[in-house]
Amino acid sequence: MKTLKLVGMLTLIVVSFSLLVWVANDVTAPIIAERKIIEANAAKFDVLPSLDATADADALDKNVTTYDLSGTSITELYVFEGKGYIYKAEFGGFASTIVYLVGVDTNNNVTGLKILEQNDSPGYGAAIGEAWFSEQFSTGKTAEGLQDGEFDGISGASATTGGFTGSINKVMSFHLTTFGGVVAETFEEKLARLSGELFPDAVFTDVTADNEASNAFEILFEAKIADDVVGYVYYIEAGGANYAAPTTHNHFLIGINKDGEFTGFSMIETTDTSGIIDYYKTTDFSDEFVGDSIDDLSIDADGGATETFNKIETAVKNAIVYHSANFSVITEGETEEQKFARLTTNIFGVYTDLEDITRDNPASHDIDKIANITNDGTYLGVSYFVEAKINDVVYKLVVGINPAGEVVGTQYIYEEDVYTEAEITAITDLVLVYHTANGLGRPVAPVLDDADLLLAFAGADHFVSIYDTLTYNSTIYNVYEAQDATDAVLGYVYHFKASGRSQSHIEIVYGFNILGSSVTIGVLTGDTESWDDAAFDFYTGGETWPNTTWLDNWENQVIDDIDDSQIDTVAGVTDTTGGVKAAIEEVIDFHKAEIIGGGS
Amino acid sequence: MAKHEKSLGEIFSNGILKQNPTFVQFLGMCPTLAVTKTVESALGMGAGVIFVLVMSNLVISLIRKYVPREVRIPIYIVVIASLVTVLEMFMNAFVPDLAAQLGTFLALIVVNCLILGRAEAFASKNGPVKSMVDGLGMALGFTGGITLIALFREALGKGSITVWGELSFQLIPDNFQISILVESAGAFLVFAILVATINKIRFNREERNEVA
Repeated sequence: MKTLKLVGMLTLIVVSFSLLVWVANDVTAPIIAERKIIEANAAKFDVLPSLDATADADALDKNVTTYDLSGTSITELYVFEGKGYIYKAEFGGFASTIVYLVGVDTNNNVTGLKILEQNDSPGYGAAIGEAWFSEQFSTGKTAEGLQDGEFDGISGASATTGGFTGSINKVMSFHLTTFGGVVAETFEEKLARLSGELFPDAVFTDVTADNEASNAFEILFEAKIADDVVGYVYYIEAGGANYAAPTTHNHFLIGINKDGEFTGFSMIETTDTSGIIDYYKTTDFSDEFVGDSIDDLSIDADGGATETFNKIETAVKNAIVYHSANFSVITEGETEEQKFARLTTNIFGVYTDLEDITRDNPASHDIDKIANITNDGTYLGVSYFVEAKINDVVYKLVVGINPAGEVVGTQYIYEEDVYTEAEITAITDLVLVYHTANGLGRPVAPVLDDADLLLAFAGADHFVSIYDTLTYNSTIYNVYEAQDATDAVLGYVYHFKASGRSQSHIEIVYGFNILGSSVTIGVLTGDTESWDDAAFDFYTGGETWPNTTWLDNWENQVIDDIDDSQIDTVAGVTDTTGGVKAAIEEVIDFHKAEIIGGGS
Repeated sequence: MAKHEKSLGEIFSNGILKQNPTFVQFLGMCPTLAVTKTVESALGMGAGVIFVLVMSNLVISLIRKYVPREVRIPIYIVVIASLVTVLEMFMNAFVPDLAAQLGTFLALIVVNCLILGRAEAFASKNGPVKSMVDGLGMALGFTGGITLIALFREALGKGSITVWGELSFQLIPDNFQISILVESAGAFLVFAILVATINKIRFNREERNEVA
């Protein structure tokens, strides 16, 4: 009877408390389950950061059950096309079942790991739930590495660590056998594969080193089929449209065959704004190239991505110029001008203006042609066509010198010529001497203070230099737009030099308004020019240079009405007045040609 | 019994001071050493113990007259384990953040001998109100004890005290910390020193009482 009472009491207590636990479980289980799903879904973004809440919404909850997961410790599997895989797996730790998520991208790189549930011993196994443990899987771990146990375990918790090691090994083994086929290509492999699409069956040789350094391409491949060159593949870098990141680049391939036709376009890699750049990755864009002649390329921008398009188009055109200069058959029988232009392109890349300045400079036995090279207003430098006689040998070379006065490249005028390095240096030294002696090449424009510029254009609020967009003129130091407080252009101010008597250069500022009239002239240096000898009483009413009414001839006049022939130099001060007059004439002509003629 | 009935106040202060479970009774040594790495975990453990001990003392006191002596220990274990499980479920459901903080400590309370000890020593012999007060006092004493140990270990070992990521004090510059104190061995060191100090104070007081 006593035993019965004990058993009965014990049973009663156990049953009633079990009931209590059951009720509590019933109340809390759905809430906990819901929270776990939310947490696990949130964790998916942590373990596969490339996920997008909208784009991947469908796949996020879709546990793929078509694979045999037995013996893998995987409980759930999520597949995100083109992005990667998320595995939910569980294993026995020291004191609890530990559940975790791990993400692997399509290149077998582990993208993150998160412990969802664990109840191991605090201070020991529970460390698996601490941030440092998960964070080691965020970067630099591969599926193969985890399979081999390449991660830091938890000291003092060998049971927990051991459980995890076994589990992650099985998960990664499953991943590699099931999805491991899609292994990332190396850069070289990608280049080779995409080049192969541009020239099927061809064998590619990297000929970058054999070609003159050029900004037209990063890498150049020659495509051959059975020893015949069938075309070239250009690997090109172009800027992008991402204003937030000015270093944005697009890298792509174009193929040009031996007939000068495009065989296609392949985007290799891009840091451009996703969405905007997507069109340029499609065959739609590539197909626009196919079959087009390099002389008649017609490609269109995708709506809204014109900045990217312009950058790509410019880069492609650079390659076209390079290609026609180097690989087209038409280079034979060209004129000297054509040859000079072509070789100059090889040195400076693509340019828009070749301004022949041979006649503006002293004649030289060694230099046949001199040209200022400008691309869309950007001054690239000076190109020299050299036929130099050194020690009775005539050397023929095109030499390019940049605005900093450095030789940027040389080209043989006759392709069969080969000169030694010492010979080339002797030639370029000779050119540099001439270059320096005659002050060629566009110097960096000096910038004046507003106070000086206001002498020429009193009504302006501020001035902005625009000289870089204009043709270089050796008389002119700088050209400014005179702007009002709202940045509206009121007129232009020229800062230029004139030769004088006492000083080699007189520095002058001269303003024009946008209505086509001159404003005032201010003389910045050269106030020591002697005016005392001025022979015309007209100008000698106590006048001293530069406060002379002679300069008034050019002030506040309609530009077209200024007739220089009606303004005489002043006897007795002809050096000063002659130099200033010539310089002013030059500036007015420049203004007419560059600003008024430019339709501004 | 000739002994006078203890008042509620005496029962309460008994647990906190005179019969402090950590430093006097040496009950619940496992969590005392394991979860005193940081003040935060000590407080978390303490909070769990307060709830469970008060509730278990109450329940056991209520059923004490129906519990046969021979099976009392299994019954206490069932009660305590059930309470802890229910507590864990509710915390997971309604205060998941706090549950995540305390998660592992909650389950450990089941095996804290302080709970079973008070059930056996007090709740099985006293009424529900007194039992609850005893539970509260003992639990607070336990919390105070482990927090004190944690305070020394974290302050001297890590140089700073961080509680729930908000309250943080940098006390000792980086190069002057006693890092062994945050290791497991440090728990024994700090515990031993604190027990020795407290015993010295206690025995001095007892001697004085005897003299008087």
